[in-house]
Amino acid sequence: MFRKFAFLLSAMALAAVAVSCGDRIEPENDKPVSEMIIGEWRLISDSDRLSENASMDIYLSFSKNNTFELYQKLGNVLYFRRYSGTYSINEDNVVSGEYSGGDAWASDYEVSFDRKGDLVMTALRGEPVCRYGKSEIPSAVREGAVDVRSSDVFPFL
Amino acid sequence: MKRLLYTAVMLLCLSGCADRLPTAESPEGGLPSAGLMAKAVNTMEDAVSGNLLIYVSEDVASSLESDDDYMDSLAVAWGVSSIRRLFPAVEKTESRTRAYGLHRWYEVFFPEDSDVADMALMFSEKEYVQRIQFNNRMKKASDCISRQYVPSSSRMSARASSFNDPYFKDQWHYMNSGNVVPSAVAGADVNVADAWRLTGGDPSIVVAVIDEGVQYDHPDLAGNMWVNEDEIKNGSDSDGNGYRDDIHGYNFAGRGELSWARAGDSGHGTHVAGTVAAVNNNGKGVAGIAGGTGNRDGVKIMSCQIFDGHTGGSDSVIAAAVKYAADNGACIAQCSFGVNAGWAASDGVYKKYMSAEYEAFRYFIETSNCPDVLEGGLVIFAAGNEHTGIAAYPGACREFISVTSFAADYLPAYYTNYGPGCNISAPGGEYYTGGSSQDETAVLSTMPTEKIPLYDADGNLYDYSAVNYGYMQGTSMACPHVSGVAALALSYAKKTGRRFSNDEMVSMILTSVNDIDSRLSGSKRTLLINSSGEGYIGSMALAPFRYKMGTGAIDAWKLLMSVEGIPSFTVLAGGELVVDLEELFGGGASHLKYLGVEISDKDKASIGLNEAPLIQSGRLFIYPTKRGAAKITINAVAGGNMVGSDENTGGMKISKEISVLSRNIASGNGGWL
Repeated sequence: MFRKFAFLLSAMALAAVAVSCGDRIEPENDKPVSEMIIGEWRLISDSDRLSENASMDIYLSFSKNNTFELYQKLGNVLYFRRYSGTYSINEDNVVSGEYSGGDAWASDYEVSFDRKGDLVMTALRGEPVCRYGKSEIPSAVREGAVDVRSSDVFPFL
Repeated sequence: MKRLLYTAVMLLCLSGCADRLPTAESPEGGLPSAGLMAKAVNTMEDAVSGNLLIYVSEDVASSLESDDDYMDSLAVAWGVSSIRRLFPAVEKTESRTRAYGLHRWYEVFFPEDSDVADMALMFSEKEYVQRIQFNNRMKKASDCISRQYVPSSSRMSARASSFNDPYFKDQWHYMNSGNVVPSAVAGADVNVADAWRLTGGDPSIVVAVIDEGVQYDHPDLAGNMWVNEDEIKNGSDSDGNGYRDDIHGYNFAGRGELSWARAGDSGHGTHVAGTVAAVNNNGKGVAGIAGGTGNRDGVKIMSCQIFDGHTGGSDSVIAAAVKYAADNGACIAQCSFGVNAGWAASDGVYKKYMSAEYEAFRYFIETSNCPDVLEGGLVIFAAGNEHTGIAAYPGACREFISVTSFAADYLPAYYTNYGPGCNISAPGGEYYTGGSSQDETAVLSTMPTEKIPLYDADGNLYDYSAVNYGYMQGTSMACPHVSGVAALALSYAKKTGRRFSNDEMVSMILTSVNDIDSRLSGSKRTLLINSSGEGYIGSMALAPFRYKMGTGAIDAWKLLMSVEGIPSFTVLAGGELVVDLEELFGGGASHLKYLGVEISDKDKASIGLNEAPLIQSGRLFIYPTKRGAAKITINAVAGGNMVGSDENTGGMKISKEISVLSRNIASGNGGWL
């Protein structure tokens, strides 16, 4: 009886620990965040709920060579805008980046992953939290995108 | 010198015609009875003889339709030779026609030596005749003088195009290289060559050229002519649309086959059609704005002939042509004609005086013939050539786009109207750019393949028209540039799967412009006309045109980008968003009259707007205090300081909607991260 009770207590304690740590997934097989972030992602939600009220679609791609691509469609436009640049992740799992035109990202982000494997990026400045799900960037998005190298230029298609 | 004289004579003839048109100041002039005054919508000055338009009661309309004997007996009772519906009854469109009341318009015919006023008085005494319209005439918005095109290997007034049309190099009005004359300005054009990389047209888009007849078998037009697939050329109305043998359109003036080279014609319709959609990339001739890419993908030209030799141009002919265009698939009405500027001082006068015609245009605007890309149809007019500070009607009406003319030097052409009612500017050519007569500074397009004798007002032969390809000038030539660019936009909307309301497309057209006003100071050397109607070379002051040429010079590339959409503007919550309105309203944005900003209460709350957005010096200032998203509509006037109304002549209301994302973070280049 006591053993059963002790087992139950242990299980409850473990569950409590799991809950208090939130949904975060520990790196699988000691895989660092810098490896888990590699791949293609699509915005699912943002804590400011902009994606609920505005017409928008965002895809991210992080590559092993520390380059990224961002495909965004904000507002009533037909084509995605494509941004690119470089990024780095430090030992505190904070990612920072710079666009190819020289502009810095709006913020550095703390990177984590939830239980489902979604990428969570929390801005250190301003604290909006965005969640991205694993999603291959459609070829139609890639091929139809307009490159943006500065904020006031729409290059010829 | 001879050409200078002829030009002055033509202008005098055209302005002479204005003296015989009814005037808004004396609408009652010449009306002898209170009954007639109550029912007559206009006056008899310059009315077509032997003809009147009447609007009858529903009962009489039904009786006239159902009982031929009744019609015959009425004709006898009225003392007229015949009566017919102005808009023929056509089964497939009759319910719509009746919904607009158009079935109640009738044309009555009587001997030409009968007094039109007496006939009108007689009708005014009939209780069942509710309106009486004298059938007035309009004129083409060009001096109709064409100059023969002679290819030259050395001249190249246009920048290179990827198309192989050999004469494109002399069409500065598409891509101005700045070489046609010393005063020419590179970029004084419609900027179409880059737009052609996106689209050259779409055969589902039909442009009705309401004008002299278009030579449908011209080698550089034939491939883009609209074909009525349901009609067989056999002398009968095979498709039951009310007109016989209307394969490429119909001759409403002559009530029969299309014609374009009779005495009194000038090649005007064929020239206008070529600017819209001469076949591109076919190794011959000229290019047309929406003429395709060489893959049979140009837009289609429907010839709705309203001038036939020395006849035509009357309200009844125009009304019937416009309705035909709506009923047979056109989504753009290209109208290079009108009455003299100053004839009417308000939209209300135009709508009353040209009641039948206006109602036909309203029917056209509310007919969706390209429903997958546009709600309704677009009506585009020339602003007129009287060098007057107001647009000519019908173009001046707030429901129609009215086009002014600039020359190769990016400055107003000497003849163009300007001011209230003028909405946008486009190249119309000018023979005297730089102060000397040059053919090449006019607009180059297709011309009939047979020469047409040209006669002056006294009936004397004074010249012949150009053949195959030639130059013409006028707001008549500026207008099809806008029609062609609009057709290109609808083609691109088709390609990209976008659809727009009528108001949205009008706003997009009128805001896809480059600045013209900043150039309008000082003077330019060109043709001037003295009080005796004689032409001479002199200095024309430019300041009077400033802010009066419309919103600016149309830009085809900008319009296609507008079809693509406007991205969101991102701003830091608690900060300031400054939007340069030139990004939304084009090059003339800093001089537009803004009517204000609309934003819903929900969106105001979403981004925490504690103060209203502010428009100042061509910029929009927004101060969000919360993270959120909002849509904001900015309204302005295109053409003047107020929107036109039934009480005045004014501009068109245009709107642009933007979306704003207010966040706690924002990058310098609009990137999300």
